[in-house]
Amino acid sequence: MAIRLDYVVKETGSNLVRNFTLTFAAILTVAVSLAMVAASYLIGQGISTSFMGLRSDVRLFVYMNPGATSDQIDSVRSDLEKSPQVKEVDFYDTQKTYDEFKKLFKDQPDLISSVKADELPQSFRIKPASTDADVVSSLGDSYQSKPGVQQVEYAAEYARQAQRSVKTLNNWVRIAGIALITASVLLIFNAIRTAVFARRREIEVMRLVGASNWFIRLPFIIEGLVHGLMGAFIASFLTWGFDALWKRNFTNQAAFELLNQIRWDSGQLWSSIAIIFGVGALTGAIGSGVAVSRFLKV
Amino acid sequence: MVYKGEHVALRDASVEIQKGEFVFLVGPSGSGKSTFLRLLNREESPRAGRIFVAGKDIADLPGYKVPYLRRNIGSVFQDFKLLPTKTVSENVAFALEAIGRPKGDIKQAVPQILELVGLGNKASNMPHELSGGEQQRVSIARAFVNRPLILLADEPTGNLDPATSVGIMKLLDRINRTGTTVVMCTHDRGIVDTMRRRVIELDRGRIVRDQARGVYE
Repeated sequence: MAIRLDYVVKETGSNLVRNFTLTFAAILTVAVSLAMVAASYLIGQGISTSFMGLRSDVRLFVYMNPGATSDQIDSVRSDLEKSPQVKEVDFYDTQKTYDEFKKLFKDQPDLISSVKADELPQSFRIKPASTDADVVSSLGDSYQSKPGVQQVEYAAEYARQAQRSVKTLNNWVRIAGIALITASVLLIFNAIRTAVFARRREIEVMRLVGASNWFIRLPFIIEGLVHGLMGAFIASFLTWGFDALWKRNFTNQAAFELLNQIRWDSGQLWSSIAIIFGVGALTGAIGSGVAVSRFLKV
Repeated sequence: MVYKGEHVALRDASVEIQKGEFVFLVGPSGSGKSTFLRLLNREESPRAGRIFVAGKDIADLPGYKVPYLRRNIGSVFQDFKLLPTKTVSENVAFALEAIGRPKGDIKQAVPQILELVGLGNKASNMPHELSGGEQQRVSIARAFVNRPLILLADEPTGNLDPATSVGIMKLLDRINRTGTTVVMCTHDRGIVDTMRRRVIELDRGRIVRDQARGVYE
């Protein structure tokens, strides 16, 4: 038997209006919790994108003096190749460095023409055997004082620590979001329970005259879904606002050395909104589903 | 039918009711009359035994099929169970809406049934504006609007004065004459003795008497 759409709309609508305070509380909680989940998702995406380069292959740079002798270079090379802490070594000679330089600054031809190949430092690019912060820094330190070495850089280390603290912060946002989602489920559950109670006479009559189980349940399930989806709707505006604020305050501000690396693109913003609607619908369905199965005897 | 705590509401009750019969269930409070009715529309399930309604064993009927059973069984109660926020005709229409009947059918069936129960002029009144007898007529109209095979009435005159009760019984009798089986619980000696229909007497969950054209005793 088909259930008439106008019936469901009418019943759900009157339930929503009748329980205005509960409905309002449920929707608002859903909105805030979903916005937190979305923010945490975006920051998480931002972290993995921005630190991707630092995390991948090269973790340690040993720059040689431009005037380093080939003996000095060979000595460093053989040390590196013998070291058990080094997994891979790649030597960038003058030509290779210049090629990379040209590639990096290909939209600045003036810069390229003003630099001569032999002014650029030759370097070893090292992939350490371990990614542990202490191992990498002690490895770096041991080459700092070698003859002919200009500088050892392991910027990745600093970035990794920054990444770790942002991740910790993000985990707290996520935990708060999940706690609030739990609260949302309970609030929706409670709102539906109240709606079922308010309509117990109608439900009794419907059962007696042989209304099918779904006919009785559907308006309540839809009511829970509406809570979830309205919350998601508001949350997507909150997320959009968060995105705009973040971009204005952090991404384009040089002062926030740590945060301005965390970026996400509009595709990720859209998928965060898709997640909001998915989680919102799920929250509503679970809250109302449990309430209906517990309190609506059919 | 055994309730929790091993209190037996109805035991070894074996009875057969023919299509179109009018049956009174009598007996003291707690003798199992209401349980008898509740077993017929699957408000309750028996611990053991079989219950046939229209030739089908409903004792183990799966839950999702129960609504379809109930569409063939009208129920009337002592307390009417009308919806106070709906008018008389909305109350009756609600029974048809709830089983998904098309609007056109409902528009046609509701005035017809209200005419049958004698409330043609009260269609847009609210239940609280009606007398007890009129409210019970609305509830009978709601139970019968879908033309069920069976009408179960649990002390339908329990809240009504004797004169009003007579009117309700005439209505139930009229419905019975259309071929609908009526099973009615009652404590009303006068009604049973006047109507002289089949009487099944229950006592502490057992059938102690089953008499055609019986009296209250």
